[in-house]
Amino acid sequence: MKTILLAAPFALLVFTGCSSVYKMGQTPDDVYYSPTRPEGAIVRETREDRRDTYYSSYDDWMMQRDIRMRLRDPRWRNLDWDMGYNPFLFSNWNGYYYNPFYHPFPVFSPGVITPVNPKVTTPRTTNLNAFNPPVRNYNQSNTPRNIKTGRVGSQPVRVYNNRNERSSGLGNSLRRVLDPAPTRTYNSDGSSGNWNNSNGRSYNSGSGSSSSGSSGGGGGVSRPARSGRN
Amino acid sequence: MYRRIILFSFFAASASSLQAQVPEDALRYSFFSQNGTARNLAIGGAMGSLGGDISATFVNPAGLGNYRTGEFVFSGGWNLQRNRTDFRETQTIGNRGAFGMGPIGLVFGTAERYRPNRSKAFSLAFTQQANFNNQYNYRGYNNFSSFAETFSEEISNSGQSIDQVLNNSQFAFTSAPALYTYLVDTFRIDGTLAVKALPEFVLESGGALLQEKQVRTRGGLYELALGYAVNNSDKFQFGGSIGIPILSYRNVTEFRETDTSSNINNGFGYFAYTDDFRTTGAGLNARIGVIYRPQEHIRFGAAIHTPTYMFAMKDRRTTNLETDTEDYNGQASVGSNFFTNGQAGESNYTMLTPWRFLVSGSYVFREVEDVRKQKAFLTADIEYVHHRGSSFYSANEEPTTDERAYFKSLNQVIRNEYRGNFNFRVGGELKFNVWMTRLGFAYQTNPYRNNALKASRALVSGGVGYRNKGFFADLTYVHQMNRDVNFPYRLQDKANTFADQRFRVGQVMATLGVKF
Repeated sequence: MKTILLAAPFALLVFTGCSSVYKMGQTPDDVYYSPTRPEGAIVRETREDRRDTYYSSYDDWMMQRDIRMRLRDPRWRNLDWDMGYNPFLFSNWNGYYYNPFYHPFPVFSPGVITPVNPKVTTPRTTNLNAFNPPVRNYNQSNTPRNIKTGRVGSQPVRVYNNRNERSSGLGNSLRRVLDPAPTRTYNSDGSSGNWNNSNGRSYNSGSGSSSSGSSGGGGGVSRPARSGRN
Repeated sequence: MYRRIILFSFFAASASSLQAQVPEDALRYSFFSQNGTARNLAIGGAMGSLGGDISATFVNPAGLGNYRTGEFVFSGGWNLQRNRTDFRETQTIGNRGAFGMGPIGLVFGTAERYRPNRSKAFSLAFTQQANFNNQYNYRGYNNFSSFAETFSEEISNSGQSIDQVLNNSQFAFTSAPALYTYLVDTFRIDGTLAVKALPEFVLESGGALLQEKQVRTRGGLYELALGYAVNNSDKFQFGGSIGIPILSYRNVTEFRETDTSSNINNGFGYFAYTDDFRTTGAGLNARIGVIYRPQEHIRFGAAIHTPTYMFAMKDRRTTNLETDTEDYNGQASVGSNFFTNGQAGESNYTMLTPWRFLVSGSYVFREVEDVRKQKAFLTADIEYVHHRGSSFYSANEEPTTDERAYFKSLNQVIRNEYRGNFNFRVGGELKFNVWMTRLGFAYQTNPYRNNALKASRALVSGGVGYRNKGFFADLTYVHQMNRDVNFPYRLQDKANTFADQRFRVGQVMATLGVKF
């Protein structure tokens, strides 16, 4: 990225040095009007340039060219003055086209090319259930249909907690809304997890707590023994 | 030794079954202020119908059809960001300055030799679509919830034992360090064995936690584009461009939570969690557009931007957790590398950004060749961005059932969380022969579906320009007033808390160019 940034001003200087076309006279502003390039901008004289000198005007040149083309190929004879040569007039069927000037055989235009996906390994996740409304206001009664939208009922209302409760004893007023308060249960039976599951799995072990360090049962990492109080 | 080999093999096998990405990623790559040349920024970024600027390559390529000349352009600037964040009734202010860049490239236009009112032009341009360089921090007291509850919630939801969590790379960046350092543990409460984070006991005893979050982001979303346009009789201009976006993003987030009480025997002192992840990627997109000039002075434009197919997205992530649980386990620290054989976590995936639809109109006073008679223009764009259409997919050729389920849920959350928004851009220019002055305004509406979450972007801009002797220079100042929200963490069984962010960005952009 830095290379590009360093190279760009250098390239600008080079272009500035080469920009002799508009150093004299007005500099065009393409937002308003973009003029054709001044003659000085054409450096190399082409074969067409030389040929132009044989005709008195542009219309004269176009007319004589048209006559020559009609004489040479009957397909040009029914064309209007303003129409150009269209190679697709020869053939165009189901994506195949045939242009005798460029391809001596039919050519097929392929559709969209889909890139091949690379391999996946993935560590960054989030609990998508946390994006669902934690508290919904349900309305058990029938709600009249909205005349404008035609919808029945109301959207669930999401509750946020952005302010600390100042009363003593806190009690977490919003937590009380979630009665009973959530208890995140622990399950040591080793069943595989599910991204969309919810709290509430029961625990079957008779142990009171694993806080004294895990056994390291299946090998690999295990917790160090806890050093503090029991 | 054999035990470790078996363990590492387990990591390698389990890593392929994991999923990734979070909903906020979608908005990062679609909800940003439009960038452009200094002239384009000065008129609010409106370029849907005006044309004649290399920025048209990235907005409405039909605008390239204006060109019958060539030009080379270089743009660069500086952003100074002032962040004000309100989190739980506490306000924090920070500053951050960073270099930015605009379009660099060339446009080459030619008229048909004998039909000067027909022309064609192509452009090759490179630009920075979004600048991610930023730094903000906020802090506040919380007596309702703790960041550490995300770990206990994750363990509870997993249904796995402590040993399984410690040895499952799925949790190596979050719950495994929390269990290892005893920030989270199991406790028997009323006869039920529950998993709890130690800060929860502080909250339950009526105490409060001081929460501090610091975020440093770097990088940008760049794009290399090739544009082509034709002008038919100065009535219709048709254009298209192919873009190759290149993404480089790094986010280092440090979250610290401290017990505010003086009790050193309540089982929790503090924890500091550092999450360092970087995302790189590349993709492909296309834009098509048309500009119609029904009569002199008036231009109408329309453009469609296809979703960007980011087919080479890669995340790399490491985390670190330092805890002080006082009399419970004292101080401990561990990094995610401990659980992943010393390797950073890696993930590859694909992403689709949203569709964009644009309509525009311009009024140009004196569309004549003599620049001394060119007076002014007014232009305005309305753009619709279908944020709900952002989506992520597994890059695995044969995704597992869990992968499919996660990405399906993720895309559903994106559809539920976001909505399409409108971007309005309006601006004008007064021209005095070789000097020009400009003013502009832009506004982006809220992409969040939930009205409680406020986000918007408002830009006021002004600039000057000089164009003479085959050379042009433009200088612009843009003042951005952005608003957004930031969730330090999310819990599924409690009301969540978020920070209200207000960013003031002063952006200076300069463009130099030559005509050829």
